[in-house]
Amino acid sequence: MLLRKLIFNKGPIGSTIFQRGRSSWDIVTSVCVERLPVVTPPLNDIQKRFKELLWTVEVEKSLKSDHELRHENDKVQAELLKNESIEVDLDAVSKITAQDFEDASQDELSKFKFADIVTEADKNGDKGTYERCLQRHLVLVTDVKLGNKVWKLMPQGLWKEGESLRQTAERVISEQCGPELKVKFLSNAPCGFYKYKYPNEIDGKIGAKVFFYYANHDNGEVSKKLNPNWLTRKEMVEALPDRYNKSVQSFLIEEHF
Amino acid sequence: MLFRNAKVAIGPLSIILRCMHLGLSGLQLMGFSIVTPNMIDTPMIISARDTFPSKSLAITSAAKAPINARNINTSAVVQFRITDQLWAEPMKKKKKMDPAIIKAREDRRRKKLEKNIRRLEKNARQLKPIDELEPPLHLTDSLGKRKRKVQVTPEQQEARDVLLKEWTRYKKQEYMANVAQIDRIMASQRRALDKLYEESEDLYNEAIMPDLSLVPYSISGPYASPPIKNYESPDGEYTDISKNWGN
Repeated sequence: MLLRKLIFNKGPIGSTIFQRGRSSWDIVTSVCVERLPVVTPPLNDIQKRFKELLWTVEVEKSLKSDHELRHENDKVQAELLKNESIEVDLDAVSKITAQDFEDASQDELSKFKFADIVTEADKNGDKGTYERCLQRHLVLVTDVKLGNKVWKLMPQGLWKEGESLRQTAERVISEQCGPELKVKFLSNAPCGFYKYKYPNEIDGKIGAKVFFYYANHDNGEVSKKLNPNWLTRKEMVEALPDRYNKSVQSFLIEEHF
Repeated sequence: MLFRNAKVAIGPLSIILRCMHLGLSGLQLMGFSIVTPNMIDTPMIISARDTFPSKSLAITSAAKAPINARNINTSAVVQFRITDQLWAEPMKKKKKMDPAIIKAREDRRRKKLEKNIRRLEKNARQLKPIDELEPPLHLTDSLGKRKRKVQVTPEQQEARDVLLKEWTRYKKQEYMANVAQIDRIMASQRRALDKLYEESEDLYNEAIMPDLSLVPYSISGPYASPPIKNYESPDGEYTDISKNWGN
């Protein structure tokens, strides 16, 4: 079935003109741009305990390494030296003990600075950049003007005759978010739906049907004039209108921490 | 015909010609009918010359022919000559070789082949060893020294078993939550597609097309620590210790 569809495809997208019959609804395409977590989420209690168990079992089942043998040998030699035993072979006493080696390695490790999980943006409370809350999913929310009011919504735009919905979604991103933002769409199909009514009829349309497209953030910032916000799941609850938020959350992955 | 015509036209010359021609072929006759003043200066011939002042019968000059009035040389005409037709090339003589040398050469060839075959067979049997798959000898020797003497008390074992069971329950819950989550996301998409179908079948058909640009797809992360900005990881030193297994 899939193959047949591929074979009988009418050619590249855009070669067909998409039209629709009369309807009293506008078609709107909205894009949910999500930044996936950069760092693994923290472990919860049972995960920590189980990890601990796995480590101990792993060590118990393992054989001693060269380093450990050397360490033990060092101890024995030191003991003999202390007792001034005659059998001590001075050449056999290593100049650098295993303990020394371990300490040096620890020193080197402590000198290496890992990047902080808490970024600048986290410290400043800046929500305008995607470099925040590295352990969480972030969704791009921008200012969208509907009628006279400005809402905090995901970038959206009207469908134009002749486009497929996917093309509309791509156009919305490039038009509204600036050329720097690069995203990766994951499907030709919308992943969510939402509809709202206009307060008054506009050109015979009573409302808009919003089709959400899902895309992953690749790189690049969003132009600042849109007042972009990268929000975690919890922040979305506060920022977005209730019913809208419910529709959006229904196609997003839950977070458990 | 030619001859008779000549006889009729020339008269006295034709008689001479008749005397001379005996045993000559037609072509040679034509060649012979050269009559030049150098050659023959009898009055009869001269009269013949009068008959053919343009020497029209002369095909080749017979200047080199001996000037002898009475003796008409027939062999001088052989200016046209056709070489024998052979229809083949003469056979080359075969070079004879010393049988000992031939034998030596053959032997050398055979030996070379045999050597190649032997070498191939030997290599087929001997596979290139993978050292990493065999534990090094010095490790197997010191196996006794390397064993850990660990004693797990019954209480510890009990606690571990409990934790394992707890973990299993946790993983099951997690799995169920994942399945529910996937169901929820799929339902959301189904609803969106249904609503789209209500609005426009064309758009729906376009939306359910597979996106071929996603094949192949790769994704990386998340990692244990965030990337350090502008960090160039130092290139470590290494020594190549892989052996060269010549074939």
